[in-house]
Amino acid sequence: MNRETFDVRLQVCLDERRDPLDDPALVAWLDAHPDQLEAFAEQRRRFAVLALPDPPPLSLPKRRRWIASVGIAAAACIAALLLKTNDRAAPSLTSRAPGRILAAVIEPFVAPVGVVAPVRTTEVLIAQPGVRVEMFTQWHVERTGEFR
Amino acid sequence: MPAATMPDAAFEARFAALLAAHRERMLAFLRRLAGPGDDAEDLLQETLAKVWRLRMSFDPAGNAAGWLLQAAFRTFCDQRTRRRGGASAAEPDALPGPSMPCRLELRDEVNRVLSRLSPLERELMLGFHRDGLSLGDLATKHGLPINTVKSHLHRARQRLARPEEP
Repeated sequence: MNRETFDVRLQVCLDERRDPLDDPALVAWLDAHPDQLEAFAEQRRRFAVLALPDPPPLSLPKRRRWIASVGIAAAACIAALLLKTNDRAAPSLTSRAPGRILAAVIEPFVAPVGVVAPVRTTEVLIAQPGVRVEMFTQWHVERTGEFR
Repeated sequence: MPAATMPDAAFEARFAALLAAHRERMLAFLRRLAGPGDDAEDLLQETLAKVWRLRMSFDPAGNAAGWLLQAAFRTFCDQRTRRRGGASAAEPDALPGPSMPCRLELRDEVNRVLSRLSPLERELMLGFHRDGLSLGDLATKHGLPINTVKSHLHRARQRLARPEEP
C-alpha cells in the first residue's frame, strides 16, 4: 500500500463510519511509516472535535455566570492539587503516573558568598514495577552577592 | 546496527537522555490519539518501560523519534485491543473525546478550517460528521449524486487534516 491507496482506504473507512484503527491494513501502514503517525493522530483529534455538537450560544448574563463558575472551579482545582501534593510527598513505585511532579521542595541556598555549590535535580522517567529510570542533572552555582 | 550486546552505563545514560528529550513529543502524540487525561500519561509510562526493556535493539544511527512514536502507537493499539476485548460487543469504540479547554481551543481551529471550505463542503462535512446524516441523505438534500458528495467530503477532509496555513 502506498500513500495514495492509504488515503483512499482511509476515506472509505470514514465514509462507512468505521474507525480507521479497526482496519488492519491501515494500522500496518501507519506502523511502517512512523513519520506519518503524528499527522494521523492530529487528524483523528480534529475529526473527534468536528463530530461534537456545537455548544449553544450563551447570553451575556449566562456567560458571566459561566466565567464565575470556571473561576470557582479553577480555585477548587488549585486547592485540591495543593492538598493532593501534600498527600503524595513520598512517591512510590506504584504511583499511577509517576512522570508527573508529585512533590517539590524549595530550600534556600545558604552557601556563603563566593562558594561554589553543587545543585542537583532528579527527574523520574520510568517508575513501574521492575523498572525505574531517573535522570539527574547536576550543575554548580556560585553565590556572588547578598540576597535582598 | 544495535548499540551493543551488553548495556553499559554510558549507553544507558544516553538512552535515558534520549527518552527524556522525546517524552513531551510522545505524550502530545498519545494525547492526540487517546484524548487528554490519565490515559495518555499511563500509555507513556508503558511505552517508556517497554522501550527501556528493548533498549539494546535501538539503533542510535536510526530515526529515534520514529522508533519511539512507533512504540507509542503500538502501545496505544495494544491497549485498545485489550479494552475492546473486555468491553461489551454492543459498545462502540468512540473516537477520543477532548476535555473542555482542549475542546474549545480545537473547536476554534476546526472552525477556522471549516470557514475556508466552500459553503457546500462545510454543510456536507457538518451534516455527515456532526449531524450523522448518511451519504444518501446528503445527496438527496443537495440534489447531487452520491459520488459527488463523496468527492466533496474527501476534499474537505483532506483540508481539515492539513496543518493550518498562516
